[in-house]
Amino acid sequence: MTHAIQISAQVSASAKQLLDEFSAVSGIKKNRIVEDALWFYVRARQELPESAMVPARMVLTERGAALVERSLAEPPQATPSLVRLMNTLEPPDEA
Amino acid sequence: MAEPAIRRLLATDDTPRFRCGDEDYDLFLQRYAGQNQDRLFVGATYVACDGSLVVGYVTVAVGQLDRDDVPSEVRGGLPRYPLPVLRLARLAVAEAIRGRGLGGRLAAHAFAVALQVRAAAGCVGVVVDALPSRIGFHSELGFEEMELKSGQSAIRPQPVSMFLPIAAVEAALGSRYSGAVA
Repeated sequence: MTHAIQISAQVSASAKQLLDEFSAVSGIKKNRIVEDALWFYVRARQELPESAMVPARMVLTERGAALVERSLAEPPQATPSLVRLMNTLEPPDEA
Repeated sequence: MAEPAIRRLLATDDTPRFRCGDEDYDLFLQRYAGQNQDRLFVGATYVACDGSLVVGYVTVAVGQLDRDDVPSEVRGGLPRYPLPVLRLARLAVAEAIRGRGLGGRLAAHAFAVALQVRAAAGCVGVVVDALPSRIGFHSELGFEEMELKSGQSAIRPQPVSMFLPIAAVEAALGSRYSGAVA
């Protein structure tokens, strides 16, 4: 970094938590992480069209969150179709 | 043709001749799947091959479900931190061998990867970006439509995000693998 300037940005609580935790664990300063991440992100976006990107972060609506909560608290039985599908898997020693 | 084995995409695989009937899916395999996997590390693609010719593929990526803007009364018992998931981003089968069950085998392979991810790093479920024509197929597997504020796939036609808890995948496997999926 040659001439550093300060910026501020509104980010999600989880993004800040991720930044804080990664910085603490890795020992890398937060400004370095943000700058490196930005370069990686922009490079990836320049090389890939939007349709080839798979967004890593999905933000749930209230209904979406309720669905996930219910699914995790009371997982549904495996459907017959899912059981049939998983039966097509080769055993590990034959894969 | 014997049932093709499913394995990770290699740089030497014959992808240019892959034709699934959707040029966008063909182009993704031919141009972007390899660099996503081997250079940018933002996903992995598993292929079924007839010799070196790719006849089907499934692309997965790790992701997270977040509830930043969801009021606390709706969060209920969910933890405040993001929930790790495996995202089944793309699945396509060559037109020439469609109808032989390869799509299902590719999906099963992706679900097995989800179990591996759960064991290695944590994963609460599988998210699939289901094309409108495939919503019924995924519903039969137990997936439910999951409403998102952001993070939808940009593929067209606009897919519907659907969620399946990893416990259902494990239950479907029963005792066959005792939790060990290679």
